Amino acid sequence: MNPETEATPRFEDRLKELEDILRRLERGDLTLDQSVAEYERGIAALRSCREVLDRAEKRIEEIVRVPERGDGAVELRPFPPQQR
Amino acid sequence: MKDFLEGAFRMPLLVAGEASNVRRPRGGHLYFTLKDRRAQLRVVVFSRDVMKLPFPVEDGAQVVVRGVVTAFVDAGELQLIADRVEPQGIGERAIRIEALKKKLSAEGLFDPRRKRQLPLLPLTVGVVTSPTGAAIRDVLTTIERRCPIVRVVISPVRVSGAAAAPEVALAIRLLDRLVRCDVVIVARGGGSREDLEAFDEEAPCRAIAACRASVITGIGHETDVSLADHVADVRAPTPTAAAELAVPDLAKLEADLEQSARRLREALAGRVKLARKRLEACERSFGFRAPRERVEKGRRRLDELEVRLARAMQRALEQRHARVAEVAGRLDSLSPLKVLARGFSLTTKAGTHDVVRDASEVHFADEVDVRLAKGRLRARVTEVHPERSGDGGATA
Repeated sequence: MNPETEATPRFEDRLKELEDILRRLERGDLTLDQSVAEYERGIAALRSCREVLDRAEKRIEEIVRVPERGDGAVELRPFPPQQR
Repeated sequence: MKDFLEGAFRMPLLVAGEASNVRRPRGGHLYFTLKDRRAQLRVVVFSRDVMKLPFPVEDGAQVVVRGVVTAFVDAGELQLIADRVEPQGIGERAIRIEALKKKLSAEGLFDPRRKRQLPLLPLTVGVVTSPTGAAIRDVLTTIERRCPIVRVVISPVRVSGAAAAPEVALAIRLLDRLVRCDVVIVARGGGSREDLEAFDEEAPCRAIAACRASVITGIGHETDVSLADHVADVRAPTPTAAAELAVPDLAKLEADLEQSARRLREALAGRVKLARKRLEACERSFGFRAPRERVEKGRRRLDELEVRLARAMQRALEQRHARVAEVAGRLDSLSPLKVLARGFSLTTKAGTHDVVRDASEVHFADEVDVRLAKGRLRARVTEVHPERSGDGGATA
């Protein structure tokens, strides 16, 4: 898989995990030890969600045909700002 | 032959030509002959379908007819039993789209079950649209406003004309296979119905269906619905709406995470507080307090005993002191010195402490020490008178 897209399911899974943890924790029927363990897992999930957001990098590119290479060759180039 | 023909052409056919010899007898069915320059075909439209025809069929009209072939045995001719008759041009397109829709639908391309869920946070968004024009601007500004951390890859295409459909299809494939986008937006600004016809073609529909990434269409205006819209995972009414569906509102997402962090902290703090309360309640409970109170009581009794013990010791010591003083007094009264003071003397063998109590213990010329109340004598025995008759004593 493309490492850049791998983050996407991770983000959603971690967010889901975070919501599940919150639900369990807020139900209040866990032992104190379990609560502390869930809290620590929640913090870890939260951190990895934030990492995805922090690492995401904004850029705008376009797919451009490269006729000199022939055979429908294409490459990615920055999208010219004046067209935005 | 009838069975063979009808079996072979069970699928509806589309036939275009000029209507001629149009008749509608009292039975209500509509009969006409469809012809072009080289051939002709008899057509019948049953009365129930005649009502649904969008326009009256007249001699000389250029029409497209959809129907199934049947053999008209008596006349030895083929006959088309038609259920749709459309004027050529727009009508033909509508029929073609209708046929394609049926075909794609039969293949399950519109099945809601095969629609992919949109990712919550796509990191790479592909955009298939014209590189110029309002649609691309709307999409980019919307993404910039809502979630300015995603990577956007534009696959520029022509969105009108004959080249549009294959270009759109290729662009979707490139974004999916080459760039591996998380979500692909297929966008086109508004236009006339004919302007949007590329999105009613088969190639873009198939590319959308084959795309691994989720596809959002935002084509034309609210009211325009193309076949591509039906195949897409989500149909947005406009390009802006498509971009809004494609990316989350980052500020809200971050606020949600912040809120989750707070809820985590509060949930744990609440749990700890509850545990502390229960602990305190336990400490206050009688069952827990009783043994501790017994210990306290024991400790107090111990202290008390210690004090009593000290006092008793003190008393015992004092008694001993008194006794020692008394014994000392008595001892004093028994002291030989007091006896000597009364005029008695103490005789010991000279240079020893051997007290001479019996005259026979010493011999003539032995030296003895005689202790007096005051001072001492050294004497020599000159006579010894052992006790026989009762008189005795030594004379120095």
